[in-house]
Amino acid sequence: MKHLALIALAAASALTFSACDKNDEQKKPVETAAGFYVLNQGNASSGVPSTLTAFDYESGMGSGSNSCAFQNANNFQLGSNATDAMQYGSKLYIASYSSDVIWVADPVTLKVISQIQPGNELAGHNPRHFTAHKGKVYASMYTGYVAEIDTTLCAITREIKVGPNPEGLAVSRGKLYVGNSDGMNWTAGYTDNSISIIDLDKWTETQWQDHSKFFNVTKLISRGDDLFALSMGDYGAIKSSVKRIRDREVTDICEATTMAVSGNTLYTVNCVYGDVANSKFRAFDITSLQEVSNPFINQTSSADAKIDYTTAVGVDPITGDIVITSNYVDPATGWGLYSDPGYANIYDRNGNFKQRISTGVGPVEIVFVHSYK
Amino acid sequence: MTRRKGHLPTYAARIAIAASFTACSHLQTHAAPALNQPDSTSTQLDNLEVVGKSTARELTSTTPLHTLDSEDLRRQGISDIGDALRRLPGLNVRDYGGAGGMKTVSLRGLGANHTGVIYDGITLSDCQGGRIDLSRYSISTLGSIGVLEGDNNDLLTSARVAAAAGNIILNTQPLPSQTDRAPHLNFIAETGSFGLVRPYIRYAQTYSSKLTLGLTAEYTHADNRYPYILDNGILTAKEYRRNSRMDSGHTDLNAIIRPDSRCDIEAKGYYYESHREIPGQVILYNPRCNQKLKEKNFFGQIIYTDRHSGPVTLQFATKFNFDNSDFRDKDDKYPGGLWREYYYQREAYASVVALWNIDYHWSVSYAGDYAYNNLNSNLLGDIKPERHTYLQAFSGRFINSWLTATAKLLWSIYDNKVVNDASAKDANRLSPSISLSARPLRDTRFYIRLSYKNIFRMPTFNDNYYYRSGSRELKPEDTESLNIGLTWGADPIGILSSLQVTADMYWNTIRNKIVAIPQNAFQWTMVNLDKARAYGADFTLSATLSLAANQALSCAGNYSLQRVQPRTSPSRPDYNKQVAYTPIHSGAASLSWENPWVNLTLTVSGASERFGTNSNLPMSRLKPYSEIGATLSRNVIIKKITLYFETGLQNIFNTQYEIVSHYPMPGRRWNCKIGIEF
Repeated sequence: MKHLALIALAAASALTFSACDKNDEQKKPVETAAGFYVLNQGNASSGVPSTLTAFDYESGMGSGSNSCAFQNANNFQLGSNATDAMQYGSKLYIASYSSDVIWVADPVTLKVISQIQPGNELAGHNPRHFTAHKGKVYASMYTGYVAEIDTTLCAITREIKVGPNPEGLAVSRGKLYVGNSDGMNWTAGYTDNSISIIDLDKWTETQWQDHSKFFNVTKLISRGDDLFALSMGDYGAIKSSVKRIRDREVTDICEATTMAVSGNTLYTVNCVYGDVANSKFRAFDITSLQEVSNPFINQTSSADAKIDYTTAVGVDPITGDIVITSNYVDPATGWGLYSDPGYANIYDRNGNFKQRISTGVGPVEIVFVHSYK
Repeated sequence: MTRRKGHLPTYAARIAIAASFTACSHLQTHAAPALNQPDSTSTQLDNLEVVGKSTARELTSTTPLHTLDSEDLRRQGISDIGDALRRLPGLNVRDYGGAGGMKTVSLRGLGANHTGVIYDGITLSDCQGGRIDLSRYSISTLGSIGVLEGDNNDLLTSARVAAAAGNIILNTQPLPSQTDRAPHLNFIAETGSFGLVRPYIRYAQTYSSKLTLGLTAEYTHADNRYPYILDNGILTAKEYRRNSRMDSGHTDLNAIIRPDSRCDIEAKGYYYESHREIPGQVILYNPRCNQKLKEKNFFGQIIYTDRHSGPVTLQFATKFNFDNSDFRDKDDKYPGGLWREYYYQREAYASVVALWNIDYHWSVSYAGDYAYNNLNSNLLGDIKPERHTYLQAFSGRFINSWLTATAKLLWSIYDNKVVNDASAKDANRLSPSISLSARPLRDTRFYIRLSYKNIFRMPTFNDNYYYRSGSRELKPEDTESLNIGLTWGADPIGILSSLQVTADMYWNTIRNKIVAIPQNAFQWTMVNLDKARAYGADFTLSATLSLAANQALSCAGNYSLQRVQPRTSPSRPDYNKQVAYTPIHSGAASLSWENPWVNLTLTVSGASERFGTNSNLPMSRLKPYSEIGATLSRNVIIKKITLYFETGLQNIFNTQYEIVSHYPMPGRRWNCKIGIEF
């Protein structure tokens, strides 16, 4: 993986939007671990743009706090308030929410293949999160839509209306589940939050609202017949927790503010505002829902092994390495430092601390990149 | 504190003789800012010497005071209020760009919430956000604009003036004097780049020895669709500011009533309305913006000054203020496709000041203020917060041939209430200030000044009650300011008809600074967290050379050094860096040549690099900039009618810069004014 964008020299290249030439679903590559990217939201009010930090396993190098991997590869910026990135097939998809752009890029070189601007033609704009299914990428759009992106055309082929301010989405049993946060309705307590269930064949949508079972779902992960949902609550009395959804049957797992699933393990982190020093790192078996480790990382081996303020967790599906991104917290005041660069800690599959790398401002998502042989 | 006119002609006569011809209009225009009028003729005569009266007050003021009167505004080629604020030292203007862009000021690193704005004698209030948007006030209507740091030797001021760490002083064009019975009409039509159209009309007349009336109306339209360079690597392109059109207008009615020669009443009714599109932050790849802001402001105020009681001067003032702002953002992401934020705020205000000039040396004053504020908004939930403010200031002043010393103690009581709900913390505090100015050499107008002030600001209603993020537990934000300075006014020598220099150094600290801390992407909370310190220096210089009988060359310049350092904790990456959006070096200068043909003014202003983040991340860096402008003007006097022509070119070299990150400032632009006055 010598060509991971961080070490590729930034050559100002002409921007070519070539149409994609193959259907990603048909490709069956042999995957090897290559590295990961950390997507950094930036801080728009302080004039800090979104960036991408690249970390290459082979060289052990990160692009550090400058985090200019995307900028170096393309010589233009990612945009403002990036929220999600996902690799699917041979492409990397990045959503810049405020900029209303979906970038389709080469996952290794980061060269942009296509720039999708939903707001130019469609009612659904301001992309938030991605999922993929059968050669299609689905993106939630904050104006209350889900868009279907054809990975060959690199374009939105259709859109469907869902609930207000959709966030995370995942496909389970052939249906697309979308968490509608109603996040812009904060003055009324997010009362219209729900889950949209989209029949992908008929392209129809039904809404499921049951505030006693889930409230403000912002992340969904599909495994087998189950969905794991992050129910963010109302940032007040209703706590943020992880639930399992199995055919409209909802089971509480634990309180948590972020999660990841890898293999048979569900990793949860509960980093509660005001009590970040006592964050919980609990892992569960996805079938039995029994706790398998707590904490799943060892934070005592060195000063850097300790996580201050978890913003995202990710597990490399091939190596099993656990990556946790965090903001720094000022030890004197206990407050997070949101307009300063954060960091990512890497632990092995057993939770032993390996390394800390710097990220950009506001790390929000970790994407593992694989190479193909 | 009022703009009194009664005593001025005497000084005017003296000044007119000494100063060059340019000073003449100085006097008539009565540029004197509210705070700086001499308290009484007897005690202040020794301070008022040759040069213009505002100049004399600047030299003898015990704390830094700088004023641009209408003549300065004209001569220095000042094009708009943002430009005027740059010509005053120690101010950091946060300018969102263009005619419709919000402009707030922070004095010496203390923040906009500590900087009061006094408009025609009474402090403007904003209990919602605490920052006054100065873009509302257009230069054409102003008779003077000034800045005063701390409490100076003027004792005839309301207690509220002492409640801010510093004040911007705006005075509108003065009314004709008591003896001038001619009708006066002033009409100015201005047009300029980016669709600027601004007519201004004013009629004023003294009808009798007891009554002077003036009526002003002004309207501004601008498209503000100005070009800028959007910097983005290989996609760098020329763009235009969008959704930026504005219309605003204001009218006011002013009256001076003089029941007898020892008292006067100044009354003012004011109405302002604006409809603005808000272009917002420039966001890469996404030019859509549908934000709109409507604002309305009405106030009525009366200031009554009474000098019947020998050495005692009494002043009563009252004001009622109504303010409404309505912000709308159309976007499908909001419930119902619309986000709305509206605020209604009201203020009832009354003050009394009693000044007793005991003898030549000693004066004491008492000032008492009461204000009632309330606010309702869709973003405060169902609550309607109220605040009763009781301020009392006790001041004493000693003057002799070489020393002026002033001490003040402000007693503040803030009483917060919310009907059927918990209210924010109250406050009850004593805040002292002292200041002195010494004249070590008997025959030289050279002064040394020293001042100290301790003051705080209350949390605003937004800080306390804003939906979910506001905190009722907030304490006031505390500041301390120390200033030491020199002022010097040279006596005229040869062609150098005036020279004035000021140099001040300061040391400020801010504790319990109120900041918003994000909990996550949707939730914020307000806390008393930060500490900061500011130190720096302000320098000003102004000089006039009389080249020939009717030619003069004048220059004015100001330079500010500001180090404003976050000091919350050494473990934070911003510790001892420079507070966001604060340049270390900033300044402005003008050079003008006045002559019988066409007056010419060249101006320059600029600032060193700034950062959008307190920790000065390279990614948030804003480039240093300088802007150069030129103005040509000519007065033609036909009988009693003065015709006035002015044309200016600002930012001649089309410098691209931002003061607030992603809010580009306009590049090269022109304006043209035609005025008629009699």
